[in-house]
Amino acid sequence: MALVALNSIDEQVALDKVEFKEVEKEFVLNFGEDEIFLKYPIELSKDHNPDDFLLFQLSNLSLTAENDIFQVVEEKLDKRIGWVFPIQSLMSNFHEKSSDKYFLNYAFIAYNLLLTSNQFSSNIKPKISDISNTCSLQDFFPEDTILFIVSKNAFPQPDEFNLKNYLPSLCSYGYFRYSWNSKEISKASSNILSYYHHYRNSEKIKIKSISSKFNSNPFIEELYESLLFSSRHHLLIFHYLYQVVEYLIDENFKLEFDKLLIEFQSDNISRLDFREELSTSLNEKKRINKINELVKPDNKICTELLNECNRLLVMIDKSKTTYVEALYKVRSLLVHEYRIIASKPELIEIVENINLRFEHLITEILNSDSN
Amino acid sequence: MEIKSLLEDKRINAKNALIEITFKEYIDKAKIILGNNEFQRKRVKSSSSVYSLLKQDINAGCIIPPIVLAISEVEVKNGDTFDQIVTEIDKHSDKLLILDGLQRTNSIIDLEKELIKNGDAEFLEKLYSSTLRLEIYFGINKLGILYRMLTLNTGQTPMSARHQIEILYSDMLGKDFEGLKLITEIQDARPENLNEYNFRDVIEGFNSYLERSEQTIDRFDILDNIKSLEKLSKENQENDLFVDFIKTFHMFNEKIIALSNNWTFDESTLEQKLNGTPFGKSVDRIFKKSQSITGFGAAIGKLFDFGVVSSFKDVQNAITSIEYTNEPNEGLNNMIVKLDKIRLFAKKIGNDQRLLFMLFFKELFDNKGDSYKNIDIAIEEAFNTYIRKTQ
Repeated sequence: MALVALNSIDEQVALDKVEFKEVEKEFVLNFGEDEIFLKYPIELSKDHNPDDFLLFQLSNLSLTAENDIFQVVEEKLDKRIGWVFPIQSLMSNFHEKSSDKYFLNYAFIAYNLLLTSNQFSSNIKPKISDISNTCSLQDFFPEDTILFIVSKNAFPQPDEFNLKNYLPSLCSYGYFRYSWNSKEISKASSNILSYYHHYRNSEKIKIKSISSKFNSNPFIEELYESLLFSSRHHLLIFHYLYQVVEYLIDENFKLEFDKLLIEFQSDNISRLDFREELSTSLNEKKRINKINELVKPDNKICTELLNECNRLLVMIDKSKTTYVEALYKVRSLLVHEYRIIASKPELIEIVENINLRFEHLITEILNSDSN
Repeated sequence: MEIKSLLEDKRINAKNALIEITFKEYIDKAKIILGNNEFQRKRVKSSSSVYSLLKQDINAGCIIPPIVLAISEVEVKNGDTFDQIVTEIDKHSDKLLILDGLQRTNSIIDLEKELIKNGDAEFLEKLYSSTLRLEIYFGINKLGILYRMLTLNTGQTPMSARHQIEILYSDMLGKDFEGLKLITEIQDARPENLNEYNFRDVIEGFNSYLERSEQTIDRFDILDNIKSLEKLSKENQENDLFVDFIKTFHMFNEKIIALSNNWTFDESTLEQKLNGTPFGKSVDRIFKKSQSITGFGAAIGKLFDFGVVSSFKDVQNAITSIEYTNEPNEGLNNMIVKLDKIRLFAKKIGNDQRLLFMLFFKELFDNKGDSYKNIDIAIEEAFNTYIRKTQ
């Protein structure tokens, strides 16, 4: 059941019989012999079957304005698969999409699924006596809820879509799974919040599925399901993200080591060469430079990341350096000398900027099929 | 129908008649009242358990509490006999408004339907012939009647003040009063003429004035109703405040149109492209929207509370000398740009637009402020205050 309310003795009542009355433009929720009416406040457009759609409840760090309504394009399929928008957009005619037929079709489905879907239950359980005269979605769902609606028919196989595979991509726009911790997250600094605002210049966001190499990795799954959003402390975020780098380097080392071993066992290289090659592979700096092979250094995100890393290094009187070394130096700084940064807001702000770009970089790496 | 007693309610300056009527006669009248008045249609369905309780109560000879109605069309003069008054009520019964007892009325009508459907002729006859008491207020003082409606509703199944105002002034729909006309969206798509206003928008604006708040949440809490009562009791009930309110707003609308040199929106005159469609493409379209009318109502209400204005006349006097410092084009473009920015980042666009308008009108009519009667500065100051409050 989707919606639950409380009766006069605080017992939970399932509002599981839902009917839409087109003439009155309202949903009727039946429970026992009584009814609650939920007006459908926006323009009605119902061309689709709710069974062909999936609805997810998300949060966002800062794209929470009523007008933050975006078409979601799947990059590989190169087509729109759905929409992402705040729940407030279903309750108002003041935003830019209020007469967009394509949005309105999805909006009606989303409203319907919120009331009927078993995918998730309502977060708030209001007293029936409080809502019997006038009822809205806000009585059941927190106002910071973001909705992501996906058309199953957009994919070659109807059950192909798995939200888990798109979480890294969504994360780069500030979207993550809804949790009760969202209120803590919304206390993120204004620097972080304003970073995502430039997406308002576009009507679309593009998402890509995580590479099949990583979609069963438990740490990466945990990273995007909860770790990155259980707290937004800059130190935690950097270390979580750097763990992905460590993992990639490690995996790369395993491959190189196996290759080397085969070469040695086949007598293609001498014992001395084997030892030297192994020693080179284990060198920290050489390992770090492998990241260059994962994402091209002239990539815009890499450039921004490099600039922010160097900005931090210069501010603490260390010298500028190249892209991967700069990231490694920042990592060492945060591990060994965090005390220099801890009480300086201007330095913390730069670490936050680094994290924002670092998140993007990790997403690109995880979504790339070429590594 | 028989009048049993006629008294004067001196608090609200209206006559009150206590009436005994058969259920049959009341049901017939109630169907006309509810059929004619969309604002009095039921919003909450009665459960079938209520009918059976009602049926039991009537069977047991229980006395239903008096249903309270009002009628503006009938004026009771000294010397009128009870029979004369009853004749007048019958003549204008389609103009009756239910102040208290809408749910009871709906339950009674639903009970009749159920008895007819079940073919329960015996009980139907018993229902029809049973006696019901009514109280009817006569008079044209609507604010007084609103006050009485709120006092009657406190403690029972709540009706919001806005709903009650809607019911109360629904008889002004479609009629000309003081050169103005209120229309609904059903009658016309949108008010086209300068002197026409959307009924619901004006009701919201007036409610905002009474509540001193531009946010249009329907309040049902008993405590909120009591607060509304306190505010209402301070109002001068001699004049029809609703008419004063809409007249004053219309005066503002006329004045700003006259000052604005036939301004219409032209994107090429903006320094920066808008993010979306403009809030309004003419002065009339900007200021006649519900956000503006509610902002106006809330602002004037607050200025009353601060003692800055003491009557709508003060506001009307100020309106005669409002002015632009710069070209009207600049001020109105600025307003459009500010409203566009709000649409981009507001969590609730409508609420934030209302807030901006409230701040604008407060700046414009606060004689202690730097923006007094200055449209350009009022827009700028309102937006600065809005940013400080919200971002």
